[in-house]
Amino acid sequence: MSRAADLAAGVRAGRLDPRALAEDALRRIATHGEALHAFLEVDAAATRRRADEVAAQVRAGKDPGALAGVPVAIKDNIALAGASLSCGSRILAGYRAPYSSHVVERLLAAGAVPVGRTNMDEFAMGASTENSAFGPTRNPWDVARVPGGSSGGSAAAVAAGLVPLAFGSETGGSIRQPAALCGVTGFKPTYGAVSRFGLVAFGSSLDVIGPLAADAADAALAHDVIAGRDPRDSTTYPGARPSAARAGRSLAGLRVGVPGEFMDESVDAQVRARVDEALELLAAQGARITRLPLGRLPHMDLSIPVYYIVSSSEASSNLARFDGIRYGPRSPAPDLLETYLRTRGTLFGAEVRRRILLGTFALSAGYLDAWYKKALAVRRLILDEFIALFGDFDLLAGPTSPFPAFALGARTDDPYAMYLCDILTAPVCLAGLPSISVPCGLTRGAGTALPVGLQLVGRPADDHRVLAAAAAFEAARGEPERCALFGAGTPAAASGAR
Amino acid sequence: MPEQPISADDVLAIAKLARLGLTDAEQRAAAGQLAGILAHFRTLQGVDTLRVEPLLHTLERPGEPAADVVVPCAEARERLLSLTPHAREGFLVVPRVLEADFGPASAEPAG
Repeated sequence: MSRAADLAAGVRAGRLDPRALAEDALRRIATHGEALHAFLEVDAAATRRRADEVAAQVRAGKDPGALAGVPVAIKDNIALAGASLSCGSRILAGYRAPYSSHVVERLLAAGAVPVGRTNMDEFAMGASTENSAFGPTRNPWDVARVPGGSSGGSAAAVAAGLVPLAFGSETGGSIRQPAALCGVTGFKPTYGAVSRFGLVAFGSSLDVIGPLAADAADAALAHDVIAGRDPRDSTTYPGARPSAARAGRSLAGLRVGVPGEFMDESVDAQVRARVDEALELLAAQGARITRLPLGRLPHMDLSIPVYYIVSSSEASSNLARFDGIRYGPRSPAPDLLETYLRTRGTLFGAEVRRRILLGTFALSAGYLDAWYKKALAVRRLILDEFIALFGDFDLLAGPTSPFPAFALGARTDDPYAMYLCDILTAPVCLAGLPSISVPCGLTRGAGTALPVGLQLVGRPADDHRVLAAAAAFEAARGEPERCALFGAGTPAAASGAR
Repeated sequence: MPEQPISADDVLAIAKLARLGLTDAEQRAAAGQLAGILAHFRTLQGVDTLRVEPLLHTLERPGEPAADVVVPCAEARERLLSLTPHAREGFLVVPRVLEADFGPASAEPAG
């Protein structure tokens, strides 16, 4: 699979046909989609129509935009008018979006060609995509393993080369962790950098939308398309600096801190070894790496309770709208209350019910101060500790996930074991910081070699620096290891660009 | 701070607040799981936050008021109604919310 940037350049120059790129993506999805279950819906007719529209623009001498003709996959919680918006839930099965999200509007205005809706943990609650009501996505490196989550469908689609670019959402790790487990690049922008208009809300003080891509340059290109002020999301801010132009910048002199809390013994030894090698490479490129002892992020170990209390409290409110009346299917009952109880009790999955209960508990009279307000206070301590570190460093680095992709079913019996997947990503979300996961090698030893992700974290609104550093790291490291499906020869790849 | 593990009765009360209908078995299971999760989360209670302001979200600047302009609503009534299986004669059919003696009884809509 070629890079999105190369495909768009080829389409803009008239060298590549958007319809051929769309057919290529549709064929790959048809060939491998079943085994991976990365997509919940693929609308081939709409994809072809859209590709032909872009082709017509090129023929008419118009520039379709920065993502001209690029097939993109979109997580099934980001609205695309007329398409599925199930959020991986039976409570929204069959629901079709009446309008498009801001992100989709921007993608269409930039010439992108949406090919399908990707699988996800129900309402983005999960770290393995096993909480999808429609069945799990498989990791393209080993189909007996999870792709991570909740944006597991988007990560698997890019890793398997089904599409060059996909979009996901992140509340506690849902872009970066599946990117790490699938060996692709996943970027979580600063909170407020990208409008959530048309994203189905989960944890509103945390939710962000970002790209999953084959490399950081493509992620930067995609981020530049979707970022910026939107009056329909009051958290958005103007003036995001263009990232793509800066990608590839030198690492010389960059001050990189490695908090001890990111590299403690709870992190898998193979993961730590690959991240150590990545840090050596960064140093060889001129970055000034400082390994910090434990203690600079003293409240980071409380990120899991804080994250799950805050996000579940917000979710319990946000998901109140799914009542069987306003959206989706309804379980009939003699009266209104019973209609709510039956619809929500039977159509939400187990994890969503659990989080609604947890959030309702934390917000209820008698428990609010002890749980919700306590979590908010500790959230401030975590933010302050990160901000203090940025007095000394330009970026922080560490692993994205404490372990590589695990077997399907390995963590489904114990909710808390699944929550621990977020231990290195949730703190960054609580602080609203921009962060990227880039592939940094494979595990070695017995068993399947599995990808490991390096996480870089930046100051608030320093998205361009995170993307540029990631691009420089990737350039120094060379083409990352790809799974067998990724590069399978195709007309588009052959015509192309790299 | 609650010292008791969360009981099945607590779960029943919370589930009703959350409008979640659970079977008895689901209630018992949820009580066990929530107690287990909260036991892990109890470490929070040891943090001294007496002088710490709660952080609601990370953009601590005043919101920008939206311009007071009328924007057209592009959504056609028919298109919105096409999104529900519960449309009838141009209206959205919902379950009755008023008791029957508030007015003439209407047929209970099909689910």
